[in-house]
Amino acid sequence: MAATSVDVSDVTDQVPLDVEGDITVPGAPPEEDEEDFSTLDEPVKETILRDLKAVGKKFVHVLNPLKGSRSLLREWDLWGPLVLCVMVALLLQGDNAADTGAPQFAEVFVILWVGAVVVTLNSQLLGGQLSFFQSVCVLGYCVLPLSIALIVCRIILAASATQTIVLFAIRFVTVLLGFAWSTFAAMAFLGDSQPVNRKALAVYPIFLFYFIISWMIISHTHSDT
Amino acid sequence: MAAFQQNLSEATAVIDMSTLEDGAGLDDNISIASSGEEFVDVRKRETATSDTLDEVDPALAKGLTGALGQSMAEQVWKTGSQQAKKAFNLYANIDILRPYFDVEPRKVMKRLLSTFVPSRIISIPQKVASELYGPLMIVFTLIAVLLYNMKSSGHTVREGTLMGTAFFVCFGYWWGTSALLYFIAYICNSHIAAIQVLSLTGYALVAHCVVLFLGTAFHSVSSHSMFYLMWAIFGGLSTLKMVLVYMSRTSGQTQRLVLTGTCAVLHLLFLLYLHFAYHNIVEDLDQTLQLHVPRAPVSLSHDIPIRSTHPVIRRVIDPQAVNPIARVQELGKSKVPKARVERDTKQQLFDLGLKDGLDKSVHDEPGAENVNMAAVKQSPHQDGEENRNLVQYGGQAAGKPGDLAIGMPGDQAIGMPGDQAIGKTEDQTTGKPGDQANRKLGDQAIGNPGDQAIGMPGDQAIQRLEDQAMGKPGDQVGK
Repeated sequence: MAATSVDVSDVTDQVPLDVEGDITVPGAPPEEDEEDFSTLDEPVKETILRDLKAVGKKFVHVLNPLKGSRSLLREWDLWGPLVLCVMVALLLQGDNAADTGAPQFAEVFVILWVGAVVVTLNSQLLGGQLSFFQSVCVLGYCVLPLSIALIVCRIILAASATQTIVLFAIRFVTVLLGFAWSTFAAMAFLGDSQPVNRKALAVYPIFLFYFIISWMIISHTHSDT
Repeated sequence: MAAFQQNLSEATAVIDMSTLEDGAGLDDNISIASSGEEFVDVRKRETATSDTLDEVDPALAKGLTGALGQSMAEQVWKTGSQQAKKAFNLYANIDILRPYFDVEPRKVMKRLLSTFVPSRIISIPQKVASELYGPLMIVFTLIAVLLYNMKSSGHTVREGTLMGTAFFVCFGYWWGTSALLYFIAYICNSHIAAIQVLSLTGYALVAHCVVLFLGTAFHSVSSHSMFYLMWAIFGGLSTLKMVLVYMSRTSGQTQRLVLTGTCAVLHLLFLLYLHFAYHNIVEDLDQTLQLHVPRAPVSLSHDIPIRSTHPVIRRVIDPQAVNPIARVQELGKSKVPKARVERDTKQQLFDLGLKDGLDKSVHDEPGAENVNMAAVKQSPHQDGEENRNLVQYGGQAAGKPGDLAIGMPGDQAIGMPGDQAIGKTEDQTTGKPGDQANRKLGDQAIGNPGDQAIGMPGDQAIQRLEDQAMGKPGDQVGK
């Protein structure tokens, strides 16, 4: 009896360890630690460039969500999500500066961040293995396809004064593509961290989050009369 | 004898029958003695640490720069961080909520579907899931559906505020109703836990999601009959389920009646509210499109684009802009001399103590509230101008009669349930000078009804207003 109970506990103990092992590649961290110690003395330009490169690399990872790429999860940073969030919030502002302005920007900004936090909390409560900031980082980066779609929509809106049904269809399809891409990318990164039988439960909030953002994008049209 | 000794040594009032036997008694004595030793050991340990702390204090006086000081600083840091971690774990521990998210997708689906399947067994307490994942997702879905409702109903630009409204309404309903029902259940001696009430109310919101979604997607232009039918079926089924659960867990006719009555009323009325508060625009839009006969004043104003009736905003946008509503009024609708109109409004404003800030605006836009009060229909006054004026200051006092260009039809919900159009205008038009009217408008003003005319080239807006004045609730004209 004692032997079987020990075996079971061994198995359950090993499972989380394996997952941790996959995420943290043993080879990489020591090198990074050495770099960290010496980064205080380097010129600011180097730091900025390095951070920019890291952000750019993550953008590329999001646009091509491969199963193997883990850098998004390992070295999480919130610069990318911040830049994307600010850009989306700025673009979703109304055109009429007098009427809109601060509150609108703030609303979109808050929705994006609070939404990311809520989705992260949900995935954690469901037994996810990722840390809080890793999830927020991934969700923020995966807004990139939607922000590209938003830029395209704005271009379309600005290009012609009259909005025909065809243009609307183009916008709709673009946003739909962006939405699907974002959700798929987020799932690719976050999916493995959930217990297998609960993936659907964790995916639904992500779907809803990006759906709401897509909705905001598609329904945003120029308000100039 | 042994038992008596035992009682003395144990010093408890409870006689442990198992210790009445001789052999067992000895064992218990030994165990008690050992635990006593442990207790003594702990006490010794505590005194030991306190002794060390006492020893450190005099050392403080000697100087903190030495190794002793450093080690003390380390210790303080460690203790501090440990305490912070403990406090954090205590208060911000999401693990408290973890058991409520312990579900499988299949179970969630099953529970979703079973909210429409009332169980008729009321003699034994029905099983209620105490789970928070399902209700939370349902509330978020409801918020998304409300957004869809608002968007499809009208052209809105301020999505952010719409989201805020939707969030507030949905979460407020879920938590507020659950709290109220739990309170009543507590009074009525129901055997139900708070988390179960929360879960039950949350799951019942599936009906709202379904009805609102279908209602918006398939709304017929002329009547609400389809909605009422769905309201009765889906709303009724989910209400029935909740009612039966409460009945099965409560005893006593009066208590049952109170609890189930409250639950049913709140649930069904909320669905009605959600539909009518966020949905009016579709109706008005359709009505406007169908009514091809413009009324007299409308035709006079078809060339006036309404940009904003808000005096400040309008001046910011276009300092030279002519007040569209004023022109309309002048063009012939007005039977009341302008002076009198101004005097009335000034007087009313003065009563309200708002004269200072709105002097100009009052003069400038006697008709501004034309837009706002979309719901003028309720007004007993035959004269449109008076209504306008009455409403006008009311609306303006609110501060933003019209972010016209913006127009959040959905915003009515702020502060007032769907009868905004109805309740508000009644106040205004019945001439209740009003702090009340004013304030009410003020509350609603965030996105108030007046806004709806927004974004619309002038004639349509005015036309819509006129249409509404015909007695349609809903100034949501939105677009």
